[in-house]
Amino acid sequence: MRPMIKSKALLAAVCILQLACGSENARKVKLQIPGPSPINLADYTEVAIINFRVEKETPDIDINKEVIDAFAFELGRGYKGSVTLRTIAWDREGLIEDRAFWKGLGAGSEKTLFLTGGVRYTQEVRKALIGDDMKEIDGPFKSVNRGLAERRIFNLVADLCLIRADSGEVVFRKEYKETRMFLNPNQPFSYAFYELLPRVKKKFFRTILGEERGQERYLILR
Amino acid sequence: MKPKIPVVLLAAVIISVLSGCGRSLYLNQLRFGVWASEKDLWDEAVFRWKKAVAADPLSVAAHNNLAVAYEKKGLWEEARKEYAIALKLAPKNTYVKYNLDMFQENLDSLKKEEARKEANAADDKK
Repeated sequence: MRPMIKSKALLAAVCILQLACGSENARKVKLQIPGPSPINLADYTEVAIINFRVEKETPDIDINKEVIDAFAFELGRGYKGSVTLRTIAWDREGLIEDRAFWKGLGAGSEKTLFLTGGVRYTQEVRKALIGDDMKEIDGPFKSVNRGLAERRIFNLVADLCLIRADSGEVVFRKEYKETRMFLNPNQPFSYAFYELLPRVKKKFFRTILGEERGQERYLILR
Repeated sequence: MKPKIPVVLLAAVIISVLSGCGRSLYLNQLRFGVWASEKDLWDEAVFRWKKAVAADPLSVAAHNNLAVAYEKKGLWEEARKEYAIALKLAPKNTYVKYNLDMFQENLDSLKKEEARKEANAADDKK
């Protein structure tokens, strides 16, 4: 009887093993999958942020510094290479298209990418006829009910470029325009900037880094 | 003569186990890859699943999982190739079909979104 018991025990063990091996075919996993990007930042070990060409300097905000800080911070979060800052003189038109200039600045570095461009922050006042059903635009308090209203509009236009240091080629260029309107005619000039800049930044990095999206996939286990 | 039936059965099960779980190198790599992916170590997962493909080039699982890892890393062309191989090997595999459908849907929606943004930007310029 002993060999019979032994063989039964062995058979049971093998059956358990078989069941264990065949218990699960696939596993559903949740992934954060990046969107397509026009450029693979992982190909570069350094992104050098060049001071931006600010078309109109403003007294109460250092636009160049704010933009550089915002972009350097964001790159520090999503980019594994080093982020450096460089300064150039925007002393002539068409500098962005000047390949020789960027090539010279990069000194042939194959793994460096320049991030630069132009920034324009402006405001304008528009007058509009308004009615009783005026919608709330910048808050719950209606400053006027009828008649001619002043609306203060702030525009932030950022022409952002990525340039290869080894060839001076512009590998990405896009103009981002963001607008914010206020009913309050005394809205400070700097106020909207801090609302518009993150919008530009978000759109730019969504394009460049390929924003991640939640997705589900199956991994097959056997 | 009684023990003969269990012995035959035992032999059959052992052969089955050996053929099912016995491809130890391939399975180890496949499972290691799954483990790595669960730990968010996608480079390691790619490495393991590439080895699994090398050990068994006809493995649907290895090609499918490799495609998922490539997707995770944003390597769209590589992912597309691996899904295509997996689907060719197993045209009726529901997991592969689901993954491929979702992959294409994701890419299509991103392309449409990009096109819409471009159109909006063009309108703004006008």
